[in-house]
Amino acid sequence: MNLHLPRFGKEIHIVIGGAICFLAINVFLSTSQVAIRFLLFRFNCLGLLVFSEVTTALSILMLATAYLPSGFCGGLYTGYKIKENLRIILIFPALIGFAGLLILRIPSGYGDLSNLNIVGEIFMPLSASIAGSYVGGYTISPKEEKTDPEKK
Amino acid sequence: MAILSLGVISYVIIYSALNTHARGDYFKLETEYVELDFPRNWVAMTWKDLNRSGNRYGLILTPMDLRASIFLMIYDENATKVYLKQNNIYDAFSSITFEVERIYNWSLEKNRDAKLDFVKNGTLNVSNHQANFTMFTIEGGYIDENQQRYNWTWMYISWIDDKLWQIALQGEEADWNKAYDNFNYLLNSTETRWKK
Repeated sequence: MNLHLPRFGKEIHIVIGGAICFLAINVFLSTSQVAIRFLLFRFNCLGLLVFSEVTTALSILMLATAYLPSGFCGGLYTGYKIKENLRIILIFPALIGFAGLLILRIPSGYGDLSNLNIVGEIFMPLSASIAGSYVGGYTISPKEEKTDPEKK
Repeated sequence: MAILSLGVISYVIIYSALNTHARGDYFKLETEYVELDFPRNWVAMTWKDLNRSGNRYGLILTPMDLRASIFLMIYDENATKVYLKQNNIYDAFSSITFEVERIYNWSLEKNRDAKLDFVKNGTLNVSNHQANFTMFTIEGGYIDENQQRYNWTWMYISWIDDKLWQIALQGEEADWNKAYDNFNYLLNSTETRWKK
């Protein structure tokens, strides 16, 4: 039985990049949320969490501390392993990681579309993950996408 | 750079919210139905239960270090009519009696030996509304995660204008006593309003 594994080399690395992104999102999200609550409690202002502007600020902070870095981690691996077509490929680790996060949240009632804030809970975090993935991918192999002027 | 910018933006928003809402050791919470002050380190949560038969608005406040909490529930005109009709209730006092019975029955499901003791009934003024209240303790009604039984103490306040208002402080007896001063402060700072 011939599996032709080398043909799937890129896909496997993309999936592994997505898995890294998914794991990193979960670790960074839970760590950031615990850290923020701890800090607010230490500064005697835990009650701030009830105000909508603070909720918005924390969503922005999560982009910075969880979604961007996790996309970066997934992109870093994918960019290290794959050197071609990064412009298209680097979107996938973030998509896979974020899709995994959404699936994981469905049992906790996240799939209730009537209460879902599409911009705040899907569009912004996904965009941040994708941006992080591109930054990570091009950090590790910055020149692969550029065309060589001498070849032309 | 992006991470730093987002972090700075979040900090500025949180800091400005802190300056806007802080009133000494309390935060001023303003919702569409009520204004009140609550201690800065308490966890607060609001929710809405919107239905065709009427809407309910809730607020829960919990100190991190005490086994006690305060909740506030407001039924709009339609929800009030439905609640009164469904439960065969005519005034605030009978709504308190109904809720006490419900809480006690729930306690009996957890502990068959639970015993209900009424401590005090009366009226008080909340935001220029004459409200009924009752204080009661359910002996052995509070069961913690280690299955230890404690006395479960409640102060249940209710009044009806065209809407039904319910405010309660509940908790394990010793912690309830510790939270009681803050509950009184909250009651005195409460101002009802309706922007629906």
